[in-house]
Amino acid sequence: MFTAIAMAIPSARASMGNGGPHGRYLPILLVLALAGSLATQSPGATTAGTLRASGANFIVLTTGAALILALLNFLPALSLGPLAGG
Amino acid sequence: MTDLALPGGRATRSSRVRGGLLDPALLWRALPGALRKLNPFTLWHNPVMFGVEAGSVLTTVLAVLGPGVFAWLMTVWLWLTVVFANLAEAVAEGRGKAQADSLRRTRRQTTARRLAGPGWPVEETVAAADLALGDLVVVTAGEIVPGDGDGVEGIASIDESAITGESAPVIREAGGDRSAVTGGTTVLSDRIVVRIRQQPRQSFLDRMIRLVEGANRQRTPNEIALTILLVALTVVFLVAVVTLQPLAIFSKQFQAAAPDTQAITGAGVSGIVLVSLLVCLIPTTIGGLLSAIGIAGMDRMVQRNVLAMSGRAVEAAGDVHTLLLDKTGTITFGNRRATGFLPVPGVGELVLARAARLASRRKAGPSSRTPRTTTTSASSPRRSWRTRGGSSSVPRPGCPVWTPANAHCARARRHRSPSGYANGAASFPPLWMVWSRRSPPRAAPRSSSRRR
Repeated sequence: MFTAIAMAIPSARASMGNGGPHGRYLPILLVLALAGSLATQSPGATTAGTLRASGANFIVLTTGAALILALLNFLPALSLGPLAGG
Repeated sequence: MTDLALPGGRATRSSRVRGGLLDPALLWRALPGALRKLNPFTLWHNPVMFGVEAGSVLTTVLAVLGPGVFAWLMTVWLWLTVVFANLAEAVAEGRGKAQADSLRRTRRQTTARRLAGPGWPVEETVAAADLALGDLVVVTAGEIVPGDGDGVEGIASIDESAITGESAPVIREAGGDRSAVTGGTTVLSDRIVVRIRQQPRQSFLDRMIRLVEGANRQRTPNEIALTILLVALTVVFLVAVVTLQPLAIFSKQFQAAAPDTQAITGAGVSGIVLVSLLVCLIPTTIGGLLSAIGIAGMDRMVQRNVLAMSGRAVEAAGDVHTLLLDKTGTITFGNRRATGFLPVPGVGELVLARAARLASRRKAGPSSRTPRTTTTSASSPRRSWRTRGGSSSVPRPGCPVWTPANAHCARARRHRSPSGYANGAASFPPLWMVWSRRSPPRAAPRSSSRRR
């Protein structure tokens, strides 16, 4: 799908090329900044409602959220790919 | 103004608002409120449902422009989603208002005898809630003080157990430093004129009612966090759906041989399909019901007579198992009272009751006022455990309590209280000493009912 776009629309080549690093490294930088600001805060009290940052619950939640949110970037193109590819 | 339960009364259980989950009458009553909430200026506080409403408007326009079964079906479903979410919030708010109304009904309508005119010739009966600051009311034996104030004339003995939990009556008189009376207390003897020092409609129950039915509900911290998450998810899904359209247009142009369907044509994905896809993706259910959950949480606590002062308190209450209370008269009936007798096997209940009553006599000190006002229904329906003439144990300002030093007073001897001192004299000098220093008050009633 994306090769088809690159072939058909020349101006899309530059923007798609920019999309790679911007879409990958910029969020990484922002998340690192968020982690840094959280690290400077003092930890809150652990109560019964605290989500523990370890264990199967946390692993599944984090992985699932990351997968779904990242997949959303590609799903429109993925779903329409067969349509464009014939 | 006096909203506390009368001594001897019980908080009624009927103050709980009961309603089934799908009580049709409740839903019908909440429908106008739900439709009123469709106003976008109020709905934008809920971003998810605001997005759904915007989508519904767009779908309606598209369905009008290009009618079809699918288009109109989608429109109806989308509007139903928005209305249902508003209905849930309106029902929750309606129950809160109903609870506030029932709180108002259970509030005791105390009346007050207001004095008016110079020299106070006129005495009118008004509701305690209508008293204004500076009004003069007269309270006599057996009546409840209608509001906080200062005594300006007279002297009376007052049972303040409803407020302080102290069961021994206290003396309040005009002038001096013991002139302040509290609303909700009962005058046991004599007569006092009180100037009201309490603002109207500022009692505790009034404030509680305002909080219960207030529209300015504080969001709980969990609610705020969830709303942020929902908004983030909505934006992510919105971007994903919006990028679908240019890709679809390109795909159709690139592969023109692909057949047109109802969903995707040469012009791209149809607007109705896009909106429906968006509404399915965004967390509509949570977004619609979140505010209703917050309101319902607070309402459930009020139904159990617990007032949550903030959203954080509602969430903290969910983790509470045990509540430790320092028992005072403000929570329960102030005077100690036996509500039942549990004898050991082999001893009759009546025997135990009699023994308890005898054990509480003849003791000095404030702690001696153990079960004098025992309930009668449990032990013996026909006999009354109260002493003959209920107020005989009350210190009367005329010729007061029987103390050993007071034995010369013939009238005191006649009215000798079986429980000895009515007050251990620890908190104020005995009345007979007070009376010997002062002249009798100007308005000292000697009503015939108190003569024996």
